[in-house]
Amino acid sequence: MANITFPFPYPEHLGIMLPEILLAVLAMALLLWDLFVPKEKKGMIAWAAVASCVVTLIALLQLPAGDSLHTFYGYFVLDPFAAYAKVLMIAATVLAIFLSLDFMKDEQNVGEYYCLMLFALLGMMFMVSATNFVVMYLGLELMALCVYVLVAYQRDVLRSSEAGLKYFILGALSSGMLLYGLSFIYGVTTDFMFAGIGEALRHVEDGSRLAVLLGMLFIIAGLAFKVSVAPFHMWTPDTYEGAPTPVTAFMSVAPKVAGFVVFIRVLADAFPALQTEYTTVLSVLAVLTIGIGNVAAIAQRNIKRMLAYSTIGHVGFMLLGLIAATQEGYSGAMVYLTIYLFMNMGAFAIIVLMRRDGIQGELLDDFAGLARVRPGYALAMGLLLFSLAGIPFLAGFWAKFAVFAAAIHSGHIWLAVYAIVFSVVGCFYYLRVVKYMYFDKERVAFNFIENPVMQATVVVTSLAVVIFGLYPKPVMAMCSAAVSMF
Amino acid sequence: MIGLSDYLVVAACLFSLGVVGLFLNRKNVITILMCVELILLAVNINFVAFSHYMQDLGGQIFVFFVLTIAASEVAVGLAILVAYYRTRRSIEVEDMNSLQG
Amino acid sequence: MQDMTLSSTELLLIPALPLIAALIAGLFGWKLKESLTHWICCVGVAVSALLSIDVFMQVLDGARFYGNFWSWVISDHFVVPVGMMIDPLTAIMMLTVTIVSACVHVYTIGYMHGDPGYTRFFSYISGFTFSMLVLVMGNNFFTLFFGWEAVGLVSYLLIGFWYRRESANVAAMKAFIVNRVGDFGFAIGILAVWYYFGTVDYHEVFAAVKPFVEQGISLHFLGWQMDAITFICLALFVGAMGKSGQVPLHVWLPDSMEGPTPISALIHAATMVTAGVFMVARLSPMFEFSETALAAVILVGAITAWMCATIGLVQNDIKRVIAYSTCSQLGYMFVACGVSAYSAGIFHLMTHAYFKALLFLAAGSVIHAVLADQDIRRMGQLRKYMPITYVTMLIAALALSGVPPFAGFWSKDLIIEAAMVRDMGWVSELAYWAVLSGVFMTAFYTFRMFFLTFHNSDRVPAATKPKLHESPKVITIPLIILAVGAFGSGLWGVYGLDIANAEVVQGFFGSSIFVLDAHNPLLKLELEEHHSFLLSAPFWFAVGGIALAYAMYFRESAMPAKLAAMAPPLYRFLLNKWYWDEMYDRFLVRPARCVGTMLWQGVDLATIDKGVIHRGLIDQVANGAARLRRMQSGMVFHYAFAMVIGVFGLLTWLILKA
Repeated sequence: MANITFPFPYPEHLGIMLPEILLAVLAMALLLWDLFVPKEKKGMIAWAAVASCVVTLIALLQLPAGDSLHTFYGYFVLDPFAAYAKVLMIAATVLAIFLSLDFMKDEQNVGEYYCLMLFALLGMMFMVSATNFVVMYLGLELMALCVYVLVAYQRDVLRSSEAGLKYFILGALSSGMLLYGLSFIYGVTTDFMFAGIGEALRHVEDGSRLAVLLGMLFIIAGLAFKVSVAPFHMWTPDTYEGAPTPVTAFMSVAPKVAGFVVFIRVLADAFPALQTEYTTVLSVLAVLTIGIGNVAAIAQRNIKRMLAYSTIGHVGFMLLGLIAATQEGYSGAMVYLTIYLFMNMGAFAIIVLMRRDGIQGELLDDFAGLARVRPGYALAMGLLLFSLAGIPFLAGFWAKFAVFAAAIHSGHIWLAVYAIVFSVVGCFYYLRVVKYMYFDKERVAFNFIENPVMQATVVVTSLAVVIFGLYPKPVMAMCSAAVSMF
Repeated sequence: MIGLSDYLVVAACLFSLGVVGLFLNRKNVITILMCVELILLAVNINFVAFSHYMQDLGGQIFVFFVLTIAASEVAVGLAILVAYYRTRRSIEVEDMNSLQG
Repeated sequence: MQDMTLSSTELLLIPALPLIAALIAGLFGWKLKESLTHWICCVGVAVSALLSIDVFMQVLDGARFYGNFWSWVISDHFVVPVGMMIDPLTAIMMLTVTIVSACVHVYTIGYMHGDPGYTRFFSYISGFTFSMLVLVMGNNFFTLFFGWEAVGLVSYLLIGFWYRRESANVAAMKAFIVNRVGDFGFAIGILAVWYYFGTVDYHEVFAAVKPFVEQGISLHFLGWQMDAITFICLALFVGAMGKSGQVPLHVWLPDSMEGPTPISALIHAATMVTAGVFMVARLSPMFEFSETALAAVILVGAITAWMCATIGLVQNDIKRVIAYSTCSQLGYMFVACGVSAYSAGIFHLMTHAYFKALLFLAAGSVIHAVLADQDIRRMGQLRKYMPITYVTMLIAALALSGVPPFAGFWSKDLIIEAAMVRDMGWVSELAYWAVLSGVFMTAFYTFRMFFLTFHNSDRVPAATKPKLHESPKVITIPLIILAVGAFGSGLWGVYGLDIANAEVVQGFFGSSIFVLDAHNPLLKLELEEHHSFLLSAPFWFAVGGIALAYAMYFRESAMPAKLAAMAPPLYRFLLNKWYWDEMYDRFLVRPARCVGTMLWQGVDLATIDKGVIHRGLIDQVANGAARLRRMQSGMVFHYAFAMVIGVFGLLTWLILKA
């Protein structure tokens, strides 16, 4: 009897895809259901989207943790690394939905907005579980296409659609680069699996070396674009500024998690043979990224733009973990991403709360005197900014500590020193906002959005920053467990 | 006999044309979409050539994925472009400058 | 009996109650009613005091506790446990701290009534009680350090409690900075302990000391050699000097009198400043192995005891007299520790806590009555207006002077005799004469202050006079309670706990204090004959001091002024406190300011702000930021170009490099 089952070859361990399957079905169902929901009740869609995320999370958490399980003939893997990243991304999505509740209530077709977020999440979940370039590319594009649309979602706002268009054009170029590099790697190794490529590249002839280098470099460029590494970062400030603020919050965190996970998998599994080459390349990129991110942020007057450059700076720090190329380094990068998720989400939540008539709450000046009007918000924002600046003992300090320690242990001392110097430069623009909030007089009449869910988000994120700062051990332990297989 | 390198050269030319077109063209966003197509097609030629040369079907299958995604990409791109045009009343690349600094 | 352990819940409650009270008062005090706040704090500390008494009783019956509750920090091999060690030494400290603290809490209700910072004050003193309890109850160097720094912080906050007064802020900063010097040594000592022993747990360290000393490990630093154990002990002792106001780090303690009087009583007399003494006694298993460190302890203690007594002779501020007396008495305690009579040191610590707290609180009562004037030249004849304060202060003054049967006599006499019999060459000789002559001066300045305040002629300004009155009950009742302690704690220590007996000392303190037999002065005392107090030199010195004070100050007389005129330089020298402050200002503060100004003008302004080259670092960064901002042109083709250039640049570089 041939080993064929009805109605198609049923892959082993299909169950480990249950979260993705559920999420896909729920997102599509939501898209249909949206048609029948009257306009004034569209808020229900948001809660349904949150519920979908929760269902996905439960499905994920009930799966056996700790092993590497494969399905679809090894094309899809569920290991602690993927599982941890998925938890982070789901959390980021839920928080982003919370931020959208009020922000998007005046938009048309708001149901589709939440569905797009879920589909982007789906794409990212595939990315982090990919063991080969095919699945990775599909996940990446699913995410990217959804995010393009999300950025341009405020169709009547010029900045929003311009941001979307710019992001789209450059994104297309970057995925073209990624594919072009991939084609050479495929040509040399005849394989799409990370592990297979890694194995084949160990025995590559000298004649193909140029092709391999070219391929690797283009792939790195494609991935670097997604996580905003300089000089592939230039879309970031424009897109962050133009996109609706909740989308900015979402894309400053979730795709970064997915991008870094893929980056780590590609480098560690597919290019271990080229480690010296890719560390030099990444070191150059890290130097550029850290420098540009932290310096350019100083000149910004718009807080979303400032946070965009801040993201670039933080991504540069995270790169140190990849350059270390050790388990400690990868774990450090994951610690950084985890903590960064809370810091950034919290900061954006406050920006959303301050939004009024389009631009209000985006300029640094709007924060002047916040401490007098809303001491609670000012305190939360202050904590988050101090944490972003890496002041001990808030969570951001441990994030930096984790990657810097990894970089030093792996011998990249000068890079670590450089990063520390620029993190000091970075303190300036974070603390400037604190100065505005606490020492200046208010320049505009505040008109806050009063939304308990968003206020709860602020409380949760700033508490998380304090708690992780005082007791970072659980996060550190989870992250080092997540990368234990490298 | 046309060898592998000939295909690769053609693909490289197409890729370069696409990339150069992306940043030399300062007028029409539609042209940019066409350049993106060019880049993706260059990639496809590479894949098919390698696939045939190495006698491995994987590359050709991947081409189908790339084609599909290229199609959806253009669809999304055009949609955003339409939205942009409705507010800006122009699709000149040089006019896309309200966000800068 | 020995294996009895104490209930850990009870032990945890003792520091927890003041902490909870402090948090409630600190966080919600501004919303709660004042009376509710002080009730919460007083009840919290009072219950804690009752529990401490209970623990003390159990400890007398032989109960002990040693254990860790949880780990605060774990990083590889570096573990900071949070645990407690309860033995007689701890128990007697807990008893003293909580009882004095409870009295001060009640007293505060009356003394601070109507102050805008009322609830803040309660939050601080309850927080202080918590910190001090952590300090004494901990079972390792890190809890010790935590408590040490926490009490220092509260002390700083309370000295600067009236933060609108400039002098208070200056005094607070002075206390803080001088303590930094001490704490630096203390931290070095703890790090050295961790470095050499690999653990911070008392039991483990103490067990390792003997083999460690026998190995003869020494330390080389800049061509200068020292036993490691001596280094550790000296470094730790520097911390003790800072906290306990020993020369030359004593300068902050008299200035700390800027704080409200209850604080002077609780923190700067009875408890916190004795932390150094407690620490030396607690670490007796380490100090015993370093003759050099013990000699240093004696020397510093003796010099402080004598020098601060001389300063006390001429001060005119009622609180400053008592403050210098505190420095001096702390010197006695250190002398006791240095001559290995730790039990005598702790005994004096306990009796001193009662009578000195009483002295301060009584002085506070006086200050309260004369409307916050602290100058004894503007008092006199106050006994008519405030009899209770008068009587209690008399008890305290007799106790401090060392007149039997008041508490101070017993403990001070023990210290002086121990210093006499312990033979350490000129060091112990010097210490003996210093403490003995100190007794005379102590008795003199105490009664000088006492007579000028309560007897002599009536010099109270006319404006204040109609308002003179005895303080309310919340103030006088704590005075009476403490007076009982100031009267009876010495007798209780000698006849109840039998502290003076060398054999029984080992019995009461048990293994909590470690003394090498060769060092133990109490054993030698034991061999000598017991004699009546009438034959003891300290007694006659004390009587002599009081008699002189009586002659000069009991009635108005011209003698003091004549005496001062006889040797004006000496008088000025003492009045200006041996010019310590001026010396520090000349040799430390001004040079430091000079270096600071140089770094500010020469380095900071010149290179970072303005710049010799171009316009300074700040402008450079701002320029860079502006340039980067211009590069972000908003043109999508520029962005694409940057990406393409980036990737091809890297490619070229890689190929050229390979």
